[in-house]
Amino acid sequence: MTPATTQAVMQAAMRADMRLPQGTRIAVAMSGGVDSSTVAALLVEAGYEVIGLTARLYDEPEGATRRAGSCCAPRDAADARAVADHLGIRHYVVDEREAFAEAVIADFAQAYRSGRTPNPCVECNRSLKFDRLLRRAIALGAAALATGHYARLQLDDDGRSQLLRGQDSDKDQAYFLHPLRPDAAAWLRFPLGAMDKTEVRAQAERLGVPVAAKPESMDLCFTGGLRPAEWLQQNGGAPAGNLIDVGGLRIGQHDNLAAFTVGQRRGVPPAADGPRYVVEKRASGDVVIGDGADLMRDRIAVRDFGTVDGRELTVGTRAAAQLRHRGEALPAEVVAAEAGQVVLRLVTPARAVAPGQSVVLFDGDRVIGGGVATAEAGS
Amino acid sequence: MTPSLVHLDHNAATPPCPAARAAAGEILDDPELGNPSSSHLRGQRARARLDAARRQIAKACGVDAESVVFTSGATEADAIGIRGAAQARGAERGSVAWLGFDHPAITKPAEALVAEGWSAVAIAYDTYGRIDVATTVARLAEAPTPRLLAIAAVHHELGVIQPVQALLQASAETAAIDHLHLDLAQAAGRVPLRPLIACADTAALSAQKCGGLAGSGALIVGPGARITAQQAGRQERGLRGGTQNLIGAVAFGAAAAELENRRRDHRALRAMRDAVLRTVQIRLGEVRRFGGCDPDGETGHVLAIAMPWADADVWVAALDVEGVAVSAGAACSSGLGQPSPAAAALGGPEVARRMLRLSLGPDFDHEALDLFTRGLDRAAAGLQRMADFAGGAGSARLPAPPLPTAGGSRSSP
Repeated sequence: MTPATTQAVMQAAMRADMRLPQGTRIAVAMSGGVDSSTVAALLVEAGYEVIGLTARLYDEPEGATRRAGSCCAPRDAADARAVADHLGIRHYVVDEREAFAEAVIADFAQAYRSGRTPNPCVECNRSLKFDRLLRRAIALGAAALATGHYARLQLDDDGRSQLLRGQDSDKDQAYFLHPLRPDAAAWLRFPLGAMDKTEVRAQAERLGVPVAAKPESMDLCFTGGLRPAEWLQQNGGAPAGNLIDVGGLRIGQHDNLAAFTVGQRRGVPPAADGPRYVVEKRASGDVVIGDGADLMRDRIAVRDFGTVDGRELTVGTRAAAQLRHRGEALPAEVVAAEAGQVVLRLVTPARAVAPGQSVVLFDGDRVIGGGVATAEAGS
Repeated sequence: MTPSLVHLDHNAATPPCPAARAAAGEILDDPELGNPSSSHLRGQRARARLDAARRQIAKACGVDAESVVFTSGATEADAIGIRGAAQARGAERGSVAWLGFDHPAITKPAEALVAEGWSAVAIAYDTYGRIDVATTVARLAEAPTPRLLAIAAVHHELGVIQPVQALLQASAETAAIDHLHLDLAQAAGRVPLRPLIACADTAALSAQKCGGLAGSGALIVGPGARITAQQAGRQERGLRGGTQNLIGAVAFGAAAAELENRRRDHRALRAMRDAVLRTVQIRLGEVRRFGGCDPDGETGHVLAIAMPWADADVWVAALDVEGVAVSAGAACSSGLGQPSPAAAALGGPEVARRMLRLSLGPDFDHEALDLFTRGLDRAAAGLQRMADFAGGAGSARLPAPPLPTAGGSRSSP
């Protein structure tokens, strides 16, 4: 593409009312990966004054073997710096290790220990990207903070920011972005929202972005390649407890609550009439075992619910509820909504809803808002 | 992109002076220079250039040319001067005295000696970060011999000039010093070197800080000094092995020949530095200042202040994007800067995170002051917007960072 068409792509990624004049200072959250590097390169080509910001979130766990597929580690900061050098832009590493340890890692460990299934990427977006990093960008005189997320932002007729799924349904990250609130949304830009990954890679290659061939990051970044249960074992562990049936009868014991996931069948003794599953994990350490029917839920109580555009959620709203990344969006109705507490009734019961996971409500491609599933069934 | 217009980080790196650039260019352009240790003509010619530079540095320091040992910079010279002096004492384990918030080039070798069995003596200091002579001498008197003393004559973050001679005189009767090592990295071009070198056993110089090139420095070894080499090799009288950095040394020599001129120009910086301080006070209110003692006690080119609203690293970037280069303590490429040890010692850990260091150089003029003022205003506006931003985290609105109120911050006593 020529620079003129790049400009067109960039502009298409934002509706007219969200465009910024050429020369405007824009900060880019650079993780060192292909996506955010390409965002920086495209914005430079489109004529913006780009500043790279890389959050240093944690120290590489000792003895961790270097894996492809992490992000925000020391070496990724070096990659981001190399990209910034290539683009001839200013780049700053922001030391967020303390904030990340408190807001994300400690929260993750605590939630896992209490039997919940937290989503640290959501918490990182909320407390790091949409708050601390954004504030840093504003302090540096930037008019916007652009990231490499696959999601779209646009303004509705009332001038409120709306968050939409990314064009590339394989890469769509809208689910993780649900903590976005109006104050932050006004400052954010997701220029890749209207592109698919193939095109991003092609752009990266065309622009000579040094990390064009870098693999995707997939795992939890701070666990050094360990699965959550393994990581937790090395970081304080999780309680032991009993295996009980839904009637409260003790049928066995276990030594690590974190080794269980709601809906899990492996490691659960089957009954005469068929398989048994983990249906609930309790803070006491007890794991409740039940059959397939016990796993099904048609009501979900959600806490810390908020909306992207700041509009109150009203009882009776029909929406599609997504309970996990890449999960199907299930038809639902809001049956209670008050002060961040929402109860959803699912038209078709959902299987294995784990407290702690994010519940995101969609209206078509648009994210209405999201919150965290609780253990209560709601009434 | 806004270019970097105002350099207020001369304590980290100051551009090479014209004489040094010209001298370095001559070496680069001369195809017939060999290894200074070679006996053939090319070696001899290189050797001649090296020794000419050595003489220039010796003259600036008031010593014989044989006293000048070329190193890769002041950090290496400090390591040879401090560890080398200790090793030269053989199996003896005496005491080593240093100032806890001096440059790591001093504190790290000193700590290494303590790990090897030497006794640590903490040099005492006053509220400005200057050495408290009486208390320090009393501590030294109690300390085992041999006594090694390692001090930066000018502190890199505070710009205070340490009372080295007063300390030596006061300690002469009750706590004789067996080896005094001085780091003169920030002193060269700012205070007279000769009297300092005359009272030291070894002294470290950095070319990069006084008009030469980075990667070049020297250790000045006094006539009676006992030191052991840290890197084997016959070069530099066996005190520093490895082929000399000819370009760096020759540029350093040319810069050394200009040091008196540099020091003369330096005197004009005090008024400019004070104007920078006034600008900051008018824009941001009273700010706590570190090391701001009487004019004779500091170099006049450094401003170390606790910034309002945000940590120093935020200010470093906010000023940089507006074309003003400053520092939050010692230069650190990773971006993971440690809070200033000096500010931590003088004001506690919280205030240390907010310490910004502005260090002026010969290029700072009224135009630079105007550019600085404009940059500061723009940076402050960005931080103000940050304070106004309610925060994107959930429904809770974050409290804005505290705004400065006139006289609200503590100023230094």
